[in-house]
Amino acid sequence: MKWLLRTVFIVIMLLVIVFTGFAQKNVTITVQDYFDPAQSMGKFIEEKMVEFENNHPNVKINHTYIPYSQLLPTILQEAITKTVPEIIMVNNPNISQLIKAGVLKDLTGKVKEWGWENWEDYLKGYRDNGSYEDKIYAFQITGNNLALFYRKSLLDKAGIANPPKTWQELEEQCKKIKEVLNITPFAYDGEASDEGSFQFYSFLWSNGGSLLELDQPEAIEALQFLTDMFKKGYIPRDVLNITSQGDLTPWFVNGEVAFMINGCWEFGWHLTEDVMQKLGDVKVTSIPVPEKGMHSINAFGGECYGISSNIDPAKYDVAWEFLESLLSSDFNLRLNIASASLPTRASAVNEILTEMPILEPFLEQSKYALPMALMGGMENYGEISSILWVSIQKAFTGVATPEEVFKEAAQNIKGIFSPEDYEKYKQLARTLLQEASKK
Amino acid sequence: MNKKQRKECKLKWTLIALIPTIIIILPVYFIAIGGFQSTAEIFHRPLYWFPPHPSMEFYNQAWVTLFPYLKNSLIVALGNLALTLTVAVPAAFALAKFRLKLGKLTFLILLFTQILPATAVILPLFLIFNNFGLINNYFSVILGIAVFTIPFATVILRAYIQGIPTSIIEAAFIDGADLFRIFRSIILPLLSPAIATAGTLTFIMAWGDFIFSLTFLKDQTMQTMSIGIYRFVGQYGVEWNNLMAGSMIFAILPIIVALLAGKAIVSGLTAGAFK
Amino acid sequence: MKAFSYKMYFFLIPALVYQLIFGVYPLIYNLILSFKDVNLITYIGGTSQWIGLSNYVQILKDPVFKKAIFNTLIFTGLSLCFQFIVGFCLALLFNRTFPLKGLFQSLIMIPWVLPIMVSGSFFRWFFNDQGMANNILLSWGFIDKPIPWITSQILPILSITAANIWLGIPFTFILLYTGLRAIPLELFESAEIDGANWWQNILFITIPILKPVIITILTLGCILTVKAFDLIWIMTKGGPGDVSQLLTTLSYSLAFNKFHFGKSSSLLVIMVLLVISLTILFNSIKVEEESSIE
Repeated sequence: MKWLLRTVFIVIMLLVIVFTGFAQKNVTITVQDYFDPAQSMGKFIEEKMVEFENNHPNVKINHTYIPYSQLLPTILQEAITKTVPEIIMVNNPNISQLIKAGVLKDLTGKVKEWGWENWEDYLKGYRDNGSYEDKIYAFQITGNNLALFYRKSLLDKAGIANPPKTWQELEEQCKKIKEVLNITPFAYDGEASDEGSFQFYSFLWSNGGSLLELDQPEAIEALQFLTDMFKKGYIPRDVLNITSQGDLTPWFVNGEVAFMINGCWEFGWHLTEDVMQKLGDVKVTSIPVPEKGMHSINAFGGECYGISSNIDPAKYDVAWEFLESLLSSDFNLRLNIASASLPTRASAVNEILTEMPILEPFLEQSKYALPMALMGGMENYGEISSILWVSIQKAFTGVATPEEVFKEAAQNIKGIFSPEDYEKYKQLARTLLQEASKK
Repeated sequence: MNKKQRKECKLKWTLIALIPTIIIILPVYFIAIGGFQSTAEIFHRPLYWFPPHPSMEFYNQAWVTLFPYLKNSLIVALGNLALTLTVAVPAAFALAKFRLKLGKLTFLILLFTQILPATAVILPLFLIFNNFGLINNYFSVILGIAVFTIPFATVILRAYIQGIPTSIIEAAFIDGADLFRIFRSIILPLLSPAIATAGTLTFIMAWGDFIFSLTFLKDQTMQTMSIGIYRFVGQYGVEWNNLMAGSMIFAILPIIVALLAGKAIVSGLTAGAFK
Repeated sequence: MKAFSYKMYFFLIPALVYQLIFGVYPLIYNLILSFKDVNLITYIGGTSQWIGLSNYVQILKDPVFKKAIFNTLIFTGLSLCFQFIVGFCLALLFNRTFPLKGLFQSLIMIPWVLPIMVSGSFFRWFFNDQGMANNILLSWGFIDKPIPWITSQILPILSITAANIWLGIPFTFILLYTGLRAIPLELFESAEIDGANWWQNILFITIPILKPVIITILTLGCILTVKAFDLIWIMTKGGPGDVSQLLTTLSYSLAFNKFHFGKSSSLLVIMVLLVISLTILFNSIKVEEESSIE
């Protein structure tokens, strides 16, 4: 009798071990972003997933891609219902908010193991954006910023030899082009969204203005300049309602505008090799600055990856391992070349120039580029950005003067913060701007 | 009038009806031809009334992209249609012809629960469905959409049932028929045009649903065509030509449903009991 | 016959229970949220504090709110009015047999079927300063400067309303059409004998019989129109400068641009109350109740 019981016991123990072994064998990680696998970024990331699965037979990686406009609402809904996937991609402006809301996991320990030199290889702005209070939460894998695109042939027709370097030159050239060619020459995105705000930053920061001090002359001058351009008919009125910056490019390609402010990604999107060959005269330069000798201080954009703060602890190591494989310098370079985005790691910065020399003005500007969220009150950046774009639109449509709209905006923005926080963020913005102006 | 004159008389109405139809369809024409052009050509000024270099490439690409989603859209839309009609038709009958104690309350609830936009409803419903493990299941999407389609269809059907003379029903009662039999043999046949109409509108609503499918179906292979369309709306901008081609493909099935329903409306009425 | 009343509950209960669980719960959820101070951090962390009516007070003081209510009323009123008129005329027109009728009917449904992303964008291009509408008007010489259909202050909401009218025509058309087809021909025949003309037929026969359908169209149309969001968002995102905000777009913007979830919900509650009052108004128009079965 006893040996029967013992055998049964042993068999049960064996079964338990075998089954829990089976249970442990399959780890599923989900990676969520907006990279459609029909396009290069998504394709490369899925290749990495397959590679990782081959090297780790007990791991399954799922790729969930969400439509771009739905990414943030989806992350919010997942955060509230505690169903955030293991690895998530976040668009650059939202990182600060999500860090503060506790959505992303503190990865400092893992970075230590990986090696600090890897983290420090990331350019400073990206490191600032992805960390908080000395803890690391997110890695930016693609960078971008805006520059002035122009059609050389149209400038030639209007008798203009060189692209504008200052605001005044831009205005004069627009005047000339409008007279000679009868087009509205300057495509600037004035829509009611983050992209509209994004376009404004070069004009604001190059002139020494700050999002947290919009009632100061530097900020008002920037808005005044653009408003005058709009009112004089140098900017097409329809920019108020476009869907995104990408809608400016068809006008540019059709020769209906001579200048456009757009991002480096266009070279991986609308302005592909065959289009560039057909047009033959597409050139890029840094965004014009208020006065000679200044340099263009821009906002940078891009995408970041992080790990969910409520990840199952058993999955953490595997998730980190996969994330680490996405962060390698050459993989990032591949992604950057495919999507015409800027490398985020110092070691890769110059390599992209050999592949895509046209990105030179973007790379030059990226030396001084600043993180939007840190310049705009961190977790309150979303609200500040929305106040900004409404003000810009009000000034453009003539509801009120730039001075009036910005005075009101500055008051509203100040009211979002407690007095101490307001001072803190105001100082942070000033410090970052000073550093960028000096370089 | 002989046959030829009658035909001419009818043809005159075809021509008259052609005018408003063309006016209404004109925007659709531009969307349809957009699918044959490149994005730059679509935005060309002056506007092209006919594609300068028509190409089938974009319709092909849109079809290849969207076809895998077709099955999912059908499952969701047909599933929702079945659930909606099964619940709505009887409820509409009860509300239209009987003074029930809960009737007024039910009607008010049916109206007021439709008012919230889907974005306000999605989170609380996600919480419920997640607790029951229904996420990533077609059923959750069907149930989610039904929150709007059931009251919608019920209210519509109620209006049509109110138009059926009560005398017919009372006569059947007097003849000794029981409730379910009356419902099956008298009400349903009389209602087939109304059911076709409510069904068409319900199907179109379910076919076009975006937010429920996006939020409740995490598995990429289960998502519906309305989400597939959004693959053309990316982070760098919109692929307008592919999007337009895709929307035409998207619209084919619901239009076929509308066509079939139209036939059902006509044939249903000739079987009516208005003699 | 009470026995029948009792059995009829079986017909009614599924819909009632369904809506109570899945429809009323979200209403309560939003109501509760509207009394709390909710931002991104507290929403995710579940630590929002009760602040009573504070959200409502702030919303009501916001100048954009007044604009949103005004726009919503104009948008809804004009949309319902014109959608009804056009839908009714089309239904009258199609209330006869002729070749290709089925085809035309299903073509007329297309505005309701197309993804709004596309049809909304079309109307945006149509109303662009350099869009179709201005091109046509300019080339025919009716105007010499482009009209800022969606880039000025008063016109945007009207342009969006025009687009919405187009979108909603299939809805009123198909409901009125089905209603018309159910009207027995004998009524018209006997009216003809009495010497009534076409116009009197409509006024004294058609419309009274269609009353339940018409009230339903107005009620459902009101609900669907007030909660319309995508069209406005695609055409102007509520701009330029917040001039074309409706209650729905303002609510969405408060939630997903500014992360003021509590205020967003309070706006939704106000919207629900608004629609409730409007529908009570519509439904107070008495239908000559056909006697109901006891």
